Amino acid sequence: MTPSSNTAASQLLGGSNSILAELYSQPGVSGCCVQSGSTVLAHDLPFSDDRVDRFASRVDHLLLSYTGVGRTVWHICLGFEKFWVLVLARDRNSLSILLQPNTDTTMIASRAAHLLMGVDIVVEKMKPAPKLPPASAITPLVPSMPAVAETPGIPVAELEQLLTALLSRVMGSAQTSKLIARELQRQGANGVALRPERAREMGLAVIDFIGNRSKRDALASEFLNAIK
Amino acid sequence: MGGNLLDEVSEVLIHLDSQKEIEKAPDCVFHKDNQEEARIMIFESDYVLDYSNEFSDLLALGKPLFASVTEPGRQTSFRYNPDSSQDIVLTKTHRGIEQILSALP
Repeated sequence: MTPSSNTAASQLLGGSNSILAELYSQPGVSGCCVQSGSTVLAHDLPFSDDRVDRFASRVDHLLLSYTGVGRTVWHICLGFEKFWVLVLARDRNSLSILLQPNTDTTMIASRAAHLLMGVDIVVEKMKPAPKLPPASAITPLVPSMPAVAETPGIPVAELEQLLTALLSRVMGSAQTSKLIARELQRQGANGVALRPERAREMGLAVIDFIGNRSKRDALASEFLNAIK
Repeated sequence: MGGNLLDEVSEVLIHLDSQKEIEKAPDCVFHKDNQEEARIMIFESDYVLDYSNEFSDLLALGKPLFASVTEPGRQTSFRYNPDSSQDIVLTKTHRGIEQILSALP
């Protein structure tokens, strides 16, 4: 957790008046993790921050893989031998709750959905005030020299084609094309060509959405070889 | 998802064998217009299982048993059986996980 998230942690988890205190009054709740995007705001899971960060990152990827294809997830309940995990999502914020097996998830989900709205408010308060535009963003009165064009590199279409070929082995075709288009757009791949290092970075970000670790590693290595 | 399965029925049950091949499913799954949606659900079952395995490694949760994804007007649940077969339940109404699992054969 970052120092800035410590404030959020105390607001979310600290004391009987905290936002999540009510959650703990529900039977079967063993712990929780509140995150905004892949950033952990607060957690009380009995694991290191590093491990919980990795968990949060994968939760974020899982949720993004649904929203990326136009599906709005309210919650995901995952059952395991030792515990159940209930993940509630609301925009970019999510709340993962560790539950004892056979807990009434419907009741918890209903309470937690309400509490997640409170999390939205805390996250909103944490956002820094909008800054004034930097001097470089102000339009100069005297036209400056045109910027030097980026070194010609890998065309975006070629990168898209390569990623489609790789990802379609492990994902549905519709999901693959939507994911690639969304991620490339999010990363600002609007130009005609990308420098190889930028193309590598963007490609790996897309491949990171593959859930299975070994498939992900294999495709990442194949991608890096192809993009040389 | 622009699926049509829930336009025709309120519940769809698919049983996959250990090779992820359909062993049992209602006729609507095999209709031309619904095949892509059914294929996505079968893919999704494994996709969520991959994530579940990762979560289990990170938080020492034990073997994944089931997953349920609740969306507006739709709930997709997956049961991962000990013999590696899988059950997929798609419903229009949202149900408790206990209710879904207990209704499965």
